[in-house]
Amino acid sequence: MSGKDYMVYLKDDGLVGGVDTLIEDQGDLTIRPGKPLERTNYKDGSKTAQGNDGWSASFNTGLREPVGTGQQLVFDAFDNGGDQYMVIKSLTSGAIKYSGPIKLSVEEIAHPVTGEPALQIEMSEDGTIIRGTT
Amino acid sequence: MTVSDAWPLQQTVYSAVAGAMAAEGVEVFDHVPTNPPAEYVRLEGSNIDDNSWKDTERGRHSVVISAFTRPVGTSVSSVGQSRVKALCGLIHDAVKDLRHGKGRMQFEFMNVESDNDGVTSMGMLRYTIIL
Repeated sequence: MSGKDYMVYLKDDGLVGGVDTLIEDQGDLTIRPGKPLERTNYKDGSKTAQGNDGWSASFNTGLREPVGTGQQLVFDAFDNGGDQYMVIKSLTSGAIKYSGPIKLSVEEIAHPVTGEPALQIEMSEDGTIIRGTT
Repeated sequence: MTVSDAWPLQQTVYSAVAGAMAAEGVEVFDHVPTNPPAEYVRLEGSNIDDNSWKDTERGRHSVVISAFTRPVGTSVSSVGQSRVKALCGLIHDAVKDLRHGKGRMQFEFMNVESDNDGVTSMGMLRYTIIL
């Protein structure tokens, strides 16, 4: 098992029945399941509840020249309201898999003097994100 | 495969450096020559650090190029730094924007100093490129 195994795919048509298309040149991925614990303290006790901030994830990629097919899907969604259908999965059998409708945004595009272009991409649930296994 | 890029990259660098040195009459080696001439350039060993994406293997190749000027024959006088710095300038002009595959050279540093024998001047330039 390795964090490197888990990668983000977008549907080629943006819909659940589309073909999983890998976003090329992926770096670190962070998933935030969106249910933080919220503790409230009273004078005579305390209570802890599970919150619901919503599922979200962020990851970074390079920028291919020419732009990759999966990277183009990112830009296309970004330019048209952010709607897409994402899948996060590992090719390892039995690994956790997330899938569902999202809105995405390209948060940042870096072109540093030293180094390469880099994209920071944010995804947030726009419906039900299903957690299953591969 | 980034490891297999090492030799083609060296050939690209050699071609650029040798081209720049030809007008100066300075030879370029990738090893320590026997009975080295008064002036020569050497491509030093290289190394590769992993710079992979999750789905793409890549490496950051480091390239080190050294220029030497030294007295020959019976002279034991140091030759100073003027010539070696001039050679470094020519090497830098030839390599600083060199492209290989989809990568482009990035200058890291230059260091000029006297060698351990006290009479040889040595300039060293280091570049990196991601392949």
